Amino acid sequence: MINFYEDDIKLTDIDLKDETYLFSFEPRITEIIHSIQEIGLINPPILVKKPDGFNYIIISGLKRVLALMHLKTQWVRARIIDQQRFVPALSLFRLGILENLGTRQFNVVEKSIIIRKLHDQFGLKDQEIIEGYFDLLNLGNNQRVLQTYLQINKLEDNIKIAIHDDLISPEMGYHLTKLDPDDRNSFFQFILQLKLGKNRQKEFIKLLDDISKRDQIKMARIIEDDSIRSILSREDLGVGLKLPMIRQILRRKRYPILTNLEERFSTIRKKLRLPPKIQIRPPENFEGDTYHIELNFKNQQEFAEQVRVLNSIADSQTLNELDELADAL
Amino acid sequence: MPYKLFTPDHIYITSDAIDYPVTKQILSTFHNVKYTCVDDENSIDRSYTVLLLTKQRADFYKNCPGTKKYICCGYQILNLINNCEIGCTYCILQGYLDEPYITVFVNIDDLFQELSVLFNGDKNRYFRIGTGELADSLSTDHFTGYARMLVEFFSDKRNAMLELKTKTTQIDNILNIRHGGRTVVSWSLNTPRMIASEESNAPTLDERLLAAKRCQDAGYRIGLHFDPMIYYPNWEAEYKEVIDRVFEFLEPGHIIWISLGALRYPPYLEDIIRERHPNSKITYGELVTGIDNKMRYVKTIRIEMFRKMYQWLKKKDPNLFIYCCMEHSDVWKRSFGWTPGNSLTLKNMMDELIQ
Ligand code: SF4
Repeated sequence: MINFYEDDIKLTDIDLKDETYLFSFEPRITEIIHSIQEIGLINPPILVKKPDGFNYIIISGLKRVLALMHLKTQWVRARIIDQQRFVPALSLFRLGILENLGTRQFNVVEKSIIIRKLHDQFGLKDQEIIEGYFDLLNLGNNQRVLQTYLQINKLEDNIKIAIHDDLISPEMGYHLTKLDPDDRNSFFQFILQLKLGKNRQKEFIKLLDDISKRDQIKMARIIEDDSIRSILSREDLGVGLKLPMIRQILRRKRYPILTNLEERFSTIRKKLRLPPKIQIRPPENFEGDTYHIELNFKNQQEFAEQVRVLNSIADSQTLNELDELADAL
Repeated sequence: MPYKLFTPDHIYITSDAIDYPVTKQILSTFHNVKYTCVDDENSIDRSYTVLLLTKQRADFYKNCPGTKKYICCGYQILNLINNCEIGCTYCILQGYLDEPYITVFVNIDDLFQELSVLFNGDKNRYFRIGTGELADSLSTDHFTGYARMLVEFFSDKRNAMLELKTKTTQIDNILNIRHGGRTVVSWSLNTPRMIASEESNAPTLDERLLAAKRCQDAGYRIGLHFDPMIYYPNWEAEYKEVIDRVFEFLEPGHIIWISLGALRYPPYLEDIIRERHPNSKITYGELVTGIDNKMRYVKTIRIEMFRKMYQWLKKKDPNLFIYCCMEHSDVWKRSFGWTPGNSLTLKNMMDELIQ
């Protein structure tokens, strides 16, 4: 049981540089400022007296303290931990977690800061972290999740903000930690420029990673290649048009033979001049040997018309070209 | 790295395996190695250098897990040993088996009994059986001695044959014994470059071919498996050189079959390969999901590789029997100009070769 007493503390006596117990990652304090202005401070921050006996360290309530400072307030009513009976640092840290959990959910970056502190600062073993804290943090109980969150904390702040804002997933954040800073920054900018959603991010990082490892060139060099840069810098194109163009450039680099097949198939399809209501599809990945035709019709007349079109191409040399596709590298 | 025979640093024995002669023989071979008796497999140290001796409690005999979507040679397998220390980068066992250690099933008499019942129970059926599915057939033979027992067991069987598939040179145990022509000894071959990068703990190409020649001289028929073929910038010249090298060692008339198979693996193996073998580039090839959901080279690549291999091999001897391992009929036709059409026809063709 931890004992508290309440007291009015001068804000200048709070040592903001001591972040031992802090894990808050919420860059914006506007909302809390408004709230304090309107209804005052409801929950007092929790502080502990520093061993020097003069200053205080925040256990919980950093944003409240910052908001009060912003409002030029001088004093704050705080709950002070009575250190007459010594409380271990890890218990204070856990107290901060529990106190915050009472009022809000933690974001991904905060979870990663907590896990990193438990690991590095408090020296907990992997299993102790998983067993003692993962339920509290609402995380899946496994080693992979632990590794992901341990690494995220190493990322640059702009990337952490993107994770916090849910622009990139924790898993992608983890992936980014494996890249060198140049590649990481380059890919991060690429995500922002193309406004890549999470699935697209996964697709693009895989393409880039594969090309980079296969050809042993840096990812940043692939992204900054003229072929891609010239598209990114075009002001007449929206993101919706740039994205498929760049995707195709990367796919061509990663899968030159497959994309060549796709492009040749597309040429054949155009030569067949089928109306939009007749769709022809190749075997998936050109793996099987069966092409599919799909007819879309509303009535007998439309059906008959489509059959007539199909009949007209049945003997065409162009259809034969489909058969040759699989043969030529 | 020169090929090194496997020596465990710890042996575990399950309580039901203690009294078997094979257990005693293995313990005496490794008399300097510590061993521990355990009640079950849960208390075993999960390490690559551990050897587990236990009893096969399921059937030894199984059908090869081929897929209906591709043509399969209808091979059957014996699970006598699980896992392999050679550690090829592409090895499917990395994802297939849960344990890193090698398991030897010591109740080999039960195996012979199971096989006798099987062979006698269906005399009209022909059994083509191998032990190289969940292990290399010979890499542990220096301490199990199983190859000799198997070869002698099969030597008088009229409706069954054995294929021992290996990358090793461990053939001494089977050279001077009665085999009755019922055993084929096969080698998996690759180019020296791929052996060095993807099979670096296995014997070199020449060492394998020399071992094959010694088996040929002992009257065995030889199988060759170019599997997995890897597509890389100089593949053409280098695989062609391998073929030339083969026929410097072997007589075409002694080669019973040659299989061609291109790199393929279940999708989950990609991450495992990248993590365990960061220097390997095989996963960066143009692999796509096939109709069996395994990753395979784009079909045109496979056709190109198989077509050329087929031509080069047939040029050496038009009578060589060459088949594709787990391929679509369309790939056979485009590569070889013919196809067995289905798995049963291929199985029958291969059974006839040996009978
Ligand atoms: S020799 Fe065969 S079983 Fe052994 S690691 Fe290589 S592929 Fe796997």
